[in-house]
Amino acid sequence: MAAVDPVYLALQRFRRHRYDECIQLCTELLVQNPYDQAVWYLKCRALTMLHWVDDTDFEEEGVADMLLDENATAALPRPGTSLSRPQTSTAIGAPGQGMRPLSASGRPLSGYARPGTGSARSGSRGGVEGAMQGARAGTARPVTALGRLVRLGTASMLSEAGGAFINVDRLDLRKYAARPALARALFDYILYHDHNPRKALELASLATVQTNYEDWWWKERLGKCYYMLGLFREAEKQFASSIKSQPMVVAHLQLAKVALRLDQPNKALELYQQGCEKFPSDTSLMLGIARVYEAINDPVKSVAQFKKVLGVDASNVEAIASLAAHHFYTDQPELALRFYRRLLQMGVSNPELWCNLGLCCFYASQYDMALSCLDKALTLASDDAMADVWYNVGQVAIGIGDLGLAYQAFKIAISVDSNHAESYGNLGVLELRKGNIDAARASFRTVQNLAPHLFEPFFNGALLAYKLGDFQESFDLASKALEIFPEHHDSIELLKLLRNHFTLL
Amino acid sequence: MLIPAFKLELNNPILRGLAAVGSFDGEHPSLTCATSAGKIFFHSPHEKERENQVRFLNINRKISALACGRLSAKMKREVLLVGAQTTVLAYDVQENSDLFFKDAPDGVNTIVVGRFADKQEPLALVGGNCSIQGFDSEGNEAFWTVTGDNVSTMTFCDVDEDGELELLVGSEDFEIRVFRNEEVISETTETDRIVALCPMRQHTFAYALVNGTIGVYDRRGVHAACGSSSPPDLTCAAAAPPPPIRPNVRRWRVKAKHDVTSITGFDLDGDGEPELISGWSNGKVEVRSDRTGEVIFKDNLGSSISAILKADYRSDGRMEVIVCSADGEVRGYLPAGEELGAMAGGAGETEMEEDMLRELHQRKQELMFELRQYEEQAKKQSKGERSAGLVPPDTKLNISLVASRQDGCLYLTLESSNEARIKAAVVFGERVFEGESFAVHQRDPSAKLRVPLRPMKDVAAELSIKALVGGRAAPTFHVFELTYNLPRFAMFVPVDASHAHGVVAGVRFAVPLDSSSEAKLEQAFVSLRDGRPLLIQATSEGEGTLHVKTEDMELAGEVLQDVCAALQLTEVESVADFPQEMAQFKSILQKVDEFNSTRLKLTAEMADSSHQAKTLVVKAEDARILNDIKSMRAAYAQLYSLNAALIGEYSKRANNHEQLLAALKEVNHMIQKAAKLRVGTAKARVVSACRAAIKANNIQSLFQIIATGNSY
Repeated sequence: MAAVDPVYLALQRFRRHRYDECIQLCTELLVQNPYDQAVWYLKCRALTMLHWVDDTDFEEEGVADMLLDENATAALPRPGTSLSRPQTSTAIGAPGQGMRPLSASGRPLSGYARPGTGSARSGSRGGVEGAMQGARAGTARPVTALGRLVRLGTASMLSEAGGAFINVDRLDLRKYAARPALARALFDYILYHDHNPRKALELASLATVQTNYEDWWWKERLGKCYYMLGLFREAEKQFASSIKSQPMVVAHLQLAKVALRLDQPNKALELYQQGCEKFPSDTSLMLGIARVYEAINDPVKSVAQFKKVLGVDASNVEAIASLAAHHFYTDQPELALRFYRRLLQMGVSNPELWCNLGLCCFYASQYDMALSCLDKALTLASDDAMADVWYNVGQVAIGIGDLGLAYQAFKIAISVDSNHAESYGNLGVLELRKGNIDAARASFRTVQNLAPHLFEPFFNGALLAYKLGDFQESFDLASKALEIFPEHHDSIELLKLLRNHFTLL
Repeated sequence: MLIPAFKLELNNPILRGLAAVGSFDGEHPSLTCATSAGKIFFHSPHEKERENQVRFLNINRKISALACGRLSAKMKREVLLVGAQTTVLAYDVQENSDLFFKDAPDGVNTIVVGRFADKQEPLALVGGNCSIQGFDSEGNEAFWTVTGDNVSTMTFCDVDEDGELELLVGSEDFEIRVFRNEEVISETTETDRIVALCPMRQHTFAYALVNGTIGVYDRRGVHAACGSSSPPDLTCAAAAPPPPIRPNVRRWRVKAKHDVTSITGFDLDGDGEPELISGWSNGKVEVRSDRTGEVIFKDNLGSSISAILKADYRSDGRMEVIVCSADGEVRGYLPAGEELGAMAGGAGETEMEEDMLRELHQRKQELMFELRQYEEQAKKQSKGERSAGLVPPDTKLNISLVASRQDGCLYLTLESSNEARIKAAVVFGERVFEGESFAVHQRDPSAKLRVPLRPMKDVAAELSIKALVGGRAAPTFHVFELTYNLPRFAMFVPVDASHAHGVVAGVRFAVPLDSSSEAKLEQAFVSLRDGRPLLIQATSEGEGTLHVKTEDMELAGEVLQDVCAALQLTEVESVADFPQEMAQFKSILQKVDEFNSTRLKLTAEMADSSHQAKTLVVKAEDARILNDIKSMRAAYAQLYSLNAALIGEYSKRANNHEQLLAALKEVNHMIQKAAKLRVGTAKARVVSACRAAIKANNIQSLFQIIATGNSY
């Protein structure tokens, strides 16, 4: 059998997303004929696709950006108009802090883990130490937003035999900008493979001039470069101009992302809304709206939007998961169970899902299912989710009255993730029940340091201090609990009691 | 002394001129001030909690202008407008969202918000480098026009009393222009750069200059002419057709050593007439009558005054004057009422009376002395004596103007009619000298004295001359007060037409000439400044054509405007041909392109290095936490060198920006020169067509418009 034409083979590999094989084939071909433009182009595309990141989603802020930049215009915005103050919501009918737990970074727990929802905004945990800690166990935050793009291992030039495929610094970008098709491939290569937005910007600006400032694609890419460089205002201008030339979903998403980065959720909502008018059945724009509502703690509107998304795309994982979480926390575990089962049918199988299923089963009184689900979750879980699963096992154990199991579960959770605040908190309560007052106090103190956004450890500490007769400490801690959750009834009562005591004294 | 109704200490510096009062929630006023490090803070007195009263906004750019206002009639809330070096941001404070963020490459020196011209909706007018840009609520450019130089201040005032607001624009070429739509309806030249303008009544407005002058202009000019304050007949004015554009008449002006920082018009003493309130760099606040300029009240703040505002800040329905100082001290003054009543009969009053008495006494002494002298003289004269020092009573000084091509200036020559000697002369004239006056002193007095004049601009001026005239060796002198009207184009001397035949550049336009006369008018001039020729030719081509031939486009425009004003032509089209200037213009446009692309590259490089700097800071901190002093040291060392490199980059960028601004200014200046070669609707059309051509980057059509006034 005659061999298949290697260029055709490489092309096929590329189309089947088998980029590594494609690159290998191309490299061999290029050794034979370094001036084969078709092969060169193919290799360029393959390398780019290998490193492609969907950058329309909101991403984690880097440590440096968080600590050193002040991109948000308002330093102390009104409640409900900013992402930086998730607790201050103006929405009515939302489950309060007592019902809906907080994520490790102090935002209301979302039904779907996505970048940004876990981002610890300034103030929730001060200092460099706090900023460096990632949202998930055992993860660290990238140093800068640009640094995030450089993935360890993949971005390394050493993996390529004979050095870099394209040495961008030596190219005459002017020459390439004149050839539109080639310029686009080259641009994506520079941006996604080399992560060199500065050079990419140069090429893009040359190419935009070539196309007489009318090509939406180039303008969108220009905006992308500016965004990566942290020049948000310039990026905003380019995206807006791109939309003017040719409305595209991606440009709308990017523009809204800029608004979010500038901490203007209302502006972002407006932009998404404008996009939705032009692309009425695009789920990514609708999801954008839902996410913003969720981020500014307006769950009613966010749920409505998620439902709308499901109307268009019945198998949207994010919408299903978010709705499930909403139903779970509004005390409808049976409904939540149906959503989670739908996810399971769709082929999603991860420890988080199984864990959620287990909890739903438990609260829906299907105890036999609950434990087996959690068991399944434990077998699937890796280190980053393990602590959460064990914590939930402990919760279920408390629910069925098996305090011994609960105690052990929390201990394991802490052994997996030594920063697991909730486990410490519950452990403290259990210790107290056992009569180990000092251990309980120590546990509460640990949580207060680990997660200053939780009100429970402060209240628990206050109550314990009150019972021990340490009124001053009790007063301090209760005040702190109220600072976090101003409507917490028990803390208010406790403070009232303390005030009475103080006046009597 | 003026007693403030309230005082606040905001404990943050307030930058000069960057303060405004806006109601961002549609109900309550907030004092908004720009402070250091590119931040804005606003103080909202209605917030109950003290810590919420002052809030900050990060702009992260050098703030150059600040304004509040509604950008659409439907809008309930006011919008905050912030101008930085090359950007304008409209920000909704209540909702924490941008309305728009726009580039203003011409720079932003001042912003005003208001309904202007024939537009339905209010505009945010941005005064920059030679241009005024107007943005609507969506950030679209709804208005654009050019002015002579950097716009330094703008305000609205109905100067011609037609019920529509006009825009007053003060710029760095000492001009106060009045715009109705895109059209300049009047220009007034002052003696220095304009710092501030403010409306007083309908037809009067006040101005302040860099050199510390403040004054009031009146459109009607009634009071200055007759000195009485009879109110003009308003009913008559309303019925009459729109009044012709009259030149502004200055009522009064005063000059001080300090810098004036802010002025505003407000009726503070409650007499129904506005006073001019001025703030100074030494912390002084003065309230002066707008009719006479005399000081009514004074107050002193600890530091330089940043801004003087008018608002109902306490939400009690009464307007107050709010004075902000550079240290963040804010004082509010209520109009006359109980606050002012308290000061009558106070200690200040008696002191003032004593001062006045002393002054009058001194005055009396002086007058007595003068009288005595006159009496003695009369006595001597009646005896037939004549002292050596006195000049004969029939002495007259003749004034003539002599142009000297050799020295490149005009000589104002004073000559006495007899043997009397002129010792010295002080010539006082606005815009003629670098300052305002010029003195010439002769060691050996002669009967003739020459004063050189080198006016930088072609303006008509009234020179008032004070000459000291006396006898040959007299210890006493007589002061002769004379006035002389310097004609506008005095710096051009007529020469034989053959001198100017080499000039090809110029402008030609149609003037209605008496076609029956075959006589051809031709007159050449030579400029005393640079010796360049100017040729004016009238031919009977068509209905009659006037050629103004000169290399200088600006001069051609001025001559054309002058001719048209004299002939009362309201609509003039013209054809211009200035090959030299156009060649220069072309190179400037190319430079603008170059600067822009360099700027882009530099910006990207800066952003890239700042990323690196941030990474290094975090790395160093990380090392510190881990107690790894060695790597921390390494990181900081790297940071140090990177910082030095960044500073170098910055100076490069600043340099580039400056040059770009200068080039852009040239471009705007060119458009203005082109516009000046037309009169009436053609003028406005040229401006807007040029703007469109520049926006579309269509150089060809831009040149076409400048040459013919049309893009086709």
